[in-house]
Amino acid sequence: MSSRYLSFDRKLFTVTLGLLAFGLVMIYSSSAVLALTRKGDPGYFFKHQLVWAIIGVGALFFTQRIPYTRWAQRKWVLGLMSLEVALLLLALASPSINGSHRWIKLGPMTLQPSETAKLVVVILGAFLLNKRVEEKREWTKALVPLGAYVGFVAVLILVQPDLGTVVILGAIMVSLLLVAGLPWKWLGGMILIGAVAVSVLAVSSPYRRQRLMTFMNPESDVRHEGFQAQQSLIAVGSGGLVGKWMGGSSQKLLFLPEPHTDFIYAMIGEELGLVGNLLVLGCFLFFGYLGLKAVRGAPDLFGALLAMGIVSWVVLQALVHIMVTLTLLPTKGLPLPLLSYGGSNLVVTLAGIGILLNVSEHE
Amino acid sequence: MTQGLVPSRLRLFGVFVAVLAVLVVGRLAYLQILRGGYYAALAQNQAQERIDVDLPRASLLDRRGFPLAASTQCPSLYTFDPQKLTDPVGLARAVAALSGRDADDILRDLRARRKFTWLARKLPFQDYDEAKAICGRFKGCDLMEEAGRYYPNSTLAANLIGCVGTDGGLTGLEHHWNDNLQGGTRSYLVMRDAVATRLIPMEMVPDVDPKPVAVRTTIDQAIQFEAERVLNETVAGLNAKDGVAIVLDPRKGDILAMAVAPTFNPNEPGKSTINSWRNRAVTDSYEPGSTFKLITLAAALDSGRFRPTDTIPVGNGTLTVGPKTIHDDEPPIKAIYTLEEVFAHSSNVGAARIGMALGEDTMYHYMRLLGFGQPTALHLTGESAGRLRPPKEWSMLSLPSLSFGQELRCTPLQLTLAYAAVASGGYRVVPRLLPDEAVAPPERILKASTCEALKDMMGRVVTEGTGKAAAVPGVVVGGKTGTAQKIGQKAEGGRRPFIAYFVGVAPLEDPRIVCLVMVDEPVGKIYGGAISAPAFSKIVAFSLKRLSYPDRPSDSDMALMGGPP
Repeated sequence: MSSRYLSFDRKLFTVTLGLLAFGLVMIYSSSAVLALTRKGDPGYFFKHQLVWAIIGVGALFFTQRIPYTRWAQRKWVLGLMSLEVALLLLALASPSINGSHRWIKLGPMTLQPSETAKLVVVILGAFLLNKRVEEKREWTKALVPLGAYVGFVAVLILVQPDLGTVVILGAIMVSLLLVAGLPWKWLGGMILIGAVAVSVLAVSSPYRRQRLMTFMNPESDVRHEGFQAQQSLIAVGSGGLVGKWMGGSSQKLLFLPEPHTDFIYAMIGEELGLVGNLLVLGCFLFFGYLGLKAVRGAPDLFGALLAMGIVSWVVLQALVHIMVTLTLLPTKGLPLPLLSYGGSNLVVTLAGIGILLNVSEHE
Repeated sequence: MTQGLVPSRLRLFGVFVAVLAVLVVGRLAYLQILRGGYYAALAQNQAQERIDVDLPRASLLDRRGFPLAASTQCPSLYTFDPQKLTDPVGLARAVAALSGRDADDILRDLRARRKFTWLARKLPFQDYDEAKAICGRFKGCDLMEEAGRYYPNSTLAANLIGCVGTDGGLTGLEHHWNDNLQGGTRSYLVMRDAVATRLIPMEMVPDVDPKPVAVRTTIDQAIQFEAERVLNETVAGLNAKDGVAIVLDPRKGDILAMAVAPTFNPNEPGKSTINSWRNRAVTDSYEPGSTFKLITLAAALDSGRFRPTDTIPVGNGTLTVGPKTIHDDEPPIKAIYTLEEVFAHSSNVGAARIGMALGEDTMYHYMRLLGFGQPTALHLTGESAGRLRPPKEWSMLSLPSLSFGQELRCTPLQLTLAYAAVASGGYRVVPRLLPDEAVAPPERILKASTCEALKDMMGRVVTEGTGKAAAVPGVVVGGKTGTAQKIGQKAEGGRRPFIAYFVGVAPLEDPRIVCLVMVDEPVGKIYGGAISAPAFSKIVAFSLKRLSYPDRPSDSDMALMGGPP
């Protein structure tokens, strides 16, 4: 038992904890002014995130000790799928916060079911694709239920509205299908359909259309919709090579909306410069490299797909967040995994990484 | 490798991530290295902006502590962000109506700027309530108190005191003493963000040398007022071009009044011509005319070459020197004058003969000794040194001409100081405007006996000579009239190219006042004895009465003024 406990990928664990700790520091540094303005306590967000980090690390150790094969049991999969849908419906039924139905209030804490959806899709995808290979089924036998469930969940999340999470769900699904060997014509078709769907959605609502327009021409409307993008660029650019050091950011003086969540990478850029940005990017790439090693080393296909789902989720979400802050992608409210403020996101991510670590034990 | 997993697809995923990573690294390098400076400037610019707010200037007080120039809290209107104003057009109109600025100009400012913008600075403090009301009516418009300058007596001593522009003193003492008067500025940091904008006072560097709250001058507000009143009455009555009246205490050199016409209202300097801002008492030089005979006689007596009773032939009142004939204004009553009579009847011929008898060097020595041809110790901004050429540049006509005040120019203050030296009994009088300034040790430049004799002669000018109109009831006064022809100049508007002077001393036995009245280019009358002597009489009568009051303000006066000067 104890030898098994020590056999998971220590590097992967270290990178995860490193990013988590760094995130805590950055949350304090970037949200102090905001917290003081909104809550009257500069440490408000930091303290909350610290609690969530402790819970999350607990969740990581918990999932890391559960043999990953348990997730392949039908009752678990069905249970998680049902729970997820129930939570999403509950979120939609809950009163809106900031104009969207993303959260469920549970006493002092709020739960964001769209975050858990990512983990559920990873488990479901691994389960269905593994079944296809094990039971020599047709692709359709896996694709139809996966597509149906992801599609349903996506619709529930889209009405919140939260396009960013849907894009990540799609990316996880495509990544799983990619490594599972889905023929290119199917894959190509899916990516095409996904791209068209996202494009249609992007112009369907006025605020998304505006975001897209400002993305095309970021300096066209510096005051309003282009504001976030422009402020993010100013934050990153003014950081220069080594940044203004911790707390030195002027952009976080409420210029950059949500500096501790959707734009934390820009804050890292402003306070720690190119050096800090490259360090964080490097950590995620290293995480991806170690994660893919775990995928290759997994004892069976289910484990490999589980690992692949989690790696693609963390790495792709990180890249999308980073690219949004650098205006390489239109503005999406996506947190940077492990670093951004947000309890549900952090706990679910850490729980997912726990599963990844469990897979890595079986090398 | 696990069954079912496609290794090439796994590699493809890795490559995809790597491509995105390269894109990110390239973008970071572009933003942070190549464009770093640009964005740093942008960040600085939008987060912080420094604005400077003027702190109160030191007040200027008269010798008794009454304010001549005071600092007030004036309302200044500003907006943090013109783009966030809900009604810029209405605001521009309201501010224009209050401040007199052009509404279109204000609106153009508001449309062009998205930073901290002043709408109107330093409005008169009487407009405070109205400015406040504008802030209430228009969201986004705020009010800040700034130190402004107010001249409670409007034109009083305006040419001496000067006025203040946006960058400090423009003219006069406000300009000359600017560094000492200026209260400095307080800098605020405008910290702005998407939600709110605040002014955060920047840490002030502690003043090593604290600035005075008020500066007391030697001016006596009442004497200044009377000098101005009489001067303006005289100048206006004769429709003259300009005029100067100076009242000076010969004992310490205190300038009690320095009145200039035309003048201006320093509260609204823009409404007057710059010409009316001049302090002609020091910036302009004029031919002194017959008043200069005092210097000729001082040289004659002090050099020991003449005694007051010595006689000078004046003949029929003409003297031909080379190509030129010198005339007396009125034919002499006898063919031979004593020195006293030359002075009392203001004989040009007599003065010319005395000057020629003394010689170039003696005359020049005394002219320099009495301060001509050099700026006074005040060294005010724009002060003129007058014009006195050295003997080597003189023609054969120069010496006789100088002897009765032609071929040189001096400022009214220079002339006053020469008379003050005589009044003081022969000491150099160093003029001063700061009563608390140390007085230089007395320096004798003329013999006491010379001055006694000259004062005597000045007395006879008033009792029996050209200056009878200068007499002051109950006081023995003395002085000298002057009617200087402005050689080679033409006057305009029916004016005549003459300057009418009276410079005198009162009381003659123990001088407390030297007073000069000069009227430039009058219409009609030209004689100093008729124009300036009566003005002198009024100013001196008032001044002597005024000086019998204690110099320092009483405690109750102090309370009225709001604290010690």
